[in-house]
This record gives sequence, C-alpha cells and structure tokens, in this order.
Amino acid sequence: MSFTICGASAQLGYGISEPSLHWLTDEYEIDAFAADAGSNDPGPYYYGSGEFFASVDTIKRDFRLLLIKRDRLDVPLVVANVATGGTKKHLDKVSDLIHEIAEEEGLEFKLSKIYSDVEKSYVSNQLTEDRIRKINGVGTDLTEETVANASTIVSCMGYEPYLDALENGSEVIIGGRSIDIAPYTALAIKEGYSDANAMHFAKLLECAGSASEPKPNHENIIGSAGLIGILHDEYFEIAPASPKERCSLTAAANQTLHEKADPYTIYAPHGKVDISNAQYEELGDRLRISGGEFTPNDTYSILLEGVEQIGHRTIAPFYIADSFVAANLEHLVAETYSNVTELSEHPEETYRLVVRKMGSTPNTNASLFAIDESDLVQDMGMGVIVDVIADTESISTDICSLFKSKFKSLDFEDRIAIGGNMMIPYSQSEIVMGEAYTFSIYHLLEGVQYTELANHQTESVSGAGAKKPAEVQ
Amino acid sequence: MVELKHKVHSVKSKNAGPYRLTFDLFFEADTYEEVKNSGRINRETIAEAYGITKERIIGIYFVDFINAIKIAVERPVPQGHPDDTDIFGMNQHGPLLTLEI
Repeated sequence: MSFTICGASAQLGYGISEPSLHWLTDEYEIDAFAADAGSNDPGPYYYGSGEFFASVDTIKRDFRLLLIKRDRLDVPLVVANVATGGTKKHLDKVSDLIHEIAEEEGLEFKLSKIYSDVEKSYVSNQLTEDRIRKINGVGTDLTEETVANASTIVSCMGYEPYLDALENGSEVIIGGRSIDIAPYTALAIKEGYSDANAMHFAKLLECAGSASEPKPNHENIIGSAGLIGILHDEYFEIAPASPKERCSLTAAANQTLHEKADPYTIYAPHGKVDISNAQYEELGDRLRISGGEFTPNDTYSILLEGVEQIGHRTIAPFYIADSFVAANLEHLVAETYSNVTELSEHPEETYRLVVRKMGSTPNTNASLFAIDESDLVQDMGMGVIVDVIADTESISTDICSLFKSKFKSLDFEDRIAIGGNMMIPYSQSEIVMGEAYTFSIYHLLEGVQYTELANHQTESVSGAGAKKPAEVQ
Repeated sequence: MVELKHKVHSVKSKNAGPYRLTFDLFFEADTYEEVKNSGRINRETIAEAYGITKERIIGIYFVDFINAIKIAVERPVPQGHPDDTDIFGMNQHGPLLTLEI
C-alpha cells in the first residue's frame, strides 16, 4: 500500500501554480495535502510584530485553492509555520482568512489550530530546573535576563501534535512554529511508515518544488508547482507536480543540504535520521530514495526560539553626487555625528546611529536631467543609508532628522556645492521602519512532554449559507 | 593557484537558523575531486578568509555523491542584530571564494 502526499508549497503564500495543482490531482491519487508556510529565514521582525512576510492576498488565494481541492477529494490539509512567524497572531489571522474562504466557497470541515507560543514564566521555570541547553555547545547559555527581555518565545513543535489532530479527525490543520518536517512526518507516521522513512520523506517534501527542476527545453512555470511524495514500506519516491519538471538527484540533493549546518542528519525532538547511507535512484522523472537510519533521542529535545525588541528604527537614504563630498565622506559623517550628539537633548545611550555607504564613485551625472523614465535601473553612483535604532520611535526619528539637517549644510574646506551636500530622494526624508528585533533565544528544552508546549484548539467551520462553491476543472 | 570562485559551478550562501551560516559549494565531478584532494578547504584557510577563529567553524563536509562541499560557521551576529546587514545570509560567500586552490 502506498500513500501519496502533495507538498503544495515550500512557503504557502508565494503563489501556487493553479494549472499544476489541477494537473497533479488528475495525474496522482492524492491522499493528503501539506505545506510548510514559514521559516525563521526572513528574520525576527515577523515573530515580534505578528506581521506577514508574504502577501495576505496570495496567502488567502493559496489557501482557497487547497481548501477547495481537499474538500473535493475529501483528504486532509496540514499546514505548519503559518504566515512565516507561526506565532499566535499569525495563526489567528490565518484562521480568520480560512473562515472567510469557507463562507465564500460554502465549505465545511473540522479545523484544528495548534499554537506553539510559550510563556516566559514557563521558560524561566525550565531554566531553573536546568533543562535548557545550547545547541551542540554553540552560542551562549540562556540567562534569566534574556528570557525576561524576550518579546515572543515559540517552540519548534515536532510531528506529535499534528498526529494527535489527525487522529481526532481534523480535516484542516494549521500549526504555528514547527520543525519544517512536522506535517509530513505526522501524515506518514499515522499511516504506519517508519520514522526513518517518514522524516527523510518529509525533508524532501517540505521544500516542495525545490527538489525538482525544469526539464530541458521547457520554459519555467509561473508559481510554485510543489512536489509529490509517494511513501512505500521500504522506500519513498518524489515525483514532479508538473509535466514540465523532473526530480533529479542534483535538485533533491541540493534540497537536503538546504539551510542546514549538517548535510547528513535530519533532526526532530523525538529523534534523528542519519541519511549518510541513503540510496538514490533516478527513475524517469521520479527519484526513489531509501536507506535513512533513525535513532530515537534519550530525552525529548525541543527547540525554543525567541526574539527581543532592540528598539525602534528609522532610516534615511541619500545619494551623493558631488565629488568633494564623496572624497570627504568619512570625516563629514563623523563631524555630523558629533554635532548631533552635542545638539540633541537625547542622551547618547538612547540611540545608535550607523551610516552605511554604497558605491565608492559618485555619479556626477546622476542628475534629474539624466533620468529616462523608461529605465528600469537608474545608476545613482554612490549612496548612504543612515540607520538609527533608538529606545523610542520619536528618538529614532529625531536623531535621523537632525543628522540629515546637519549633514546637508555641513561646511568643509573643499566644499563648493553650497546648496546642500546630498540628494534626498523622498519627501518623507526619514523612513520609519518600526520596531526592530533580534533573535535572542535558540536553545533546546529537554525532558518535557510535547503536550506542555502545543496548545490545540479545534472547531467546526461551516460556510453554509454562502454562495455556490467555485467550479473546479 | 586559482581562486575558488573560478572552480565552483555555484555557491549557496544561506542562514542555517538564526545563529549560523552555511555555504554549499557545487562543482563538476572532476573539479570536485581536484578541490577536495588539494586539501585547501580546511579550518585554517576558512578561518583566515573570514578573519575568525577556528572554533567558530561548525563543520566542513565533503558530500561526494553530489560533488558538493558544505561549510557551516557561526554567524558573527544573530539575525536582526543592529549590525546584521544581510537578514537572509545570502551574500556572505565572498571571502570563501577568494581561497586559492
């Protein structure tokens, strides 16, 4: 008996290819849809703020396509790391979108939401109980102070909460921050496949279309085609989600190296899979894979991720088109900064200013007269970005603005351009970026039950009373 | 001696979590053997190229079956730190590619 999963996307919200989705449901007998919808790769801002990294419209579009498909085929849809950050804010917003879609399309299903946010007090207690470790000894030990300063802490859930939700009959499951293989592993383990097979399979599927490549002489498809994974008892296969693609060894191997420090090990809180002796066989457009070896962990080890707000950021970009300013830039910046610290009422400890220079040769012809509005790229020669992080938004804007004023009119020995020392490209010369965050926690929590960290909520979603469901080809 | 940038087919520079960077170097089969056997990809040369101590290098892997070399190092600052100018870690491969083979 085989089990076929469609890995719909590596990053739900980037735009699933609708033609591919229709093609693959004709071509394969799909038993489940799954997707990884996020990552820490876009940085800490999304964890801290609850904002979406991908477009909300495209996230809704992708969910709509999958919710309709899974309804037609009556198979589960499991999505992890929703809306990139996977925090409660993300999960709740996506849940709202799902409810809207159900209303609009007249869909009914049992929805499970799995939150992975962790209370600071809980982490503090675990720290006191000496259950928190650095990963492989890298980095610094977690301190009480770091926990106290965190604005958001999440755990990277393993497959177990997803398996629970599937076994409870949930048809649509959305989870917060999880290891990227969680949804696929849960589906595979539910069907009785081995941990080794399940986790190795999951690793290939979670990056979806990255493990396949366009066939020679085919133009690129627009949007992510995803990937098909077919589980068998002793091996699994990956197959392309579009007739224009194939699963080659290179593409698949590239994927197993992707964003990992170790090419040979796949980690989960409950154990790890060694793929150094894996066998790969190209069979037409498919790749057959086997040979992973699973070792359970002595202690359940779950990764905690946390971010800390470092302040509020305001930036100001300028272009430098005067050769005398360019030649004296370093000292002009230093002098301007010194003027700012002297003049500003804000103590220097409340802000940090850095100027980053780009280009070393000013384009003295980069004038308004040189611009052709049909040019996609306009050469500005040399520029700087003034970057201010401060305790409050108003301090960051004040300092940035003061820097701009002082730099603009600063006199110096070789100066001839007395109108002003730079080009300010925008009428809002300072750009408020908002809260700035850094990652501050990336540690293993050992020896706790997964149930302490995963928070399930289940509900029946009913779109009864909505307009007729959309036709599916 | 030729710089590594002329030997690789491609290089992928990315974060491996918020505290690590990983570089995947992909080669043609014969070039891979040459580079691997040269012994020039090691902790000393990488540490020198990046101006870091060897302890900051987490791993160097020669992945024979796909002619690739993986290197993992600690990120000088975590993602989002005020001194982080490359959130995705996509363009940190420059010093590595200057290694002479």
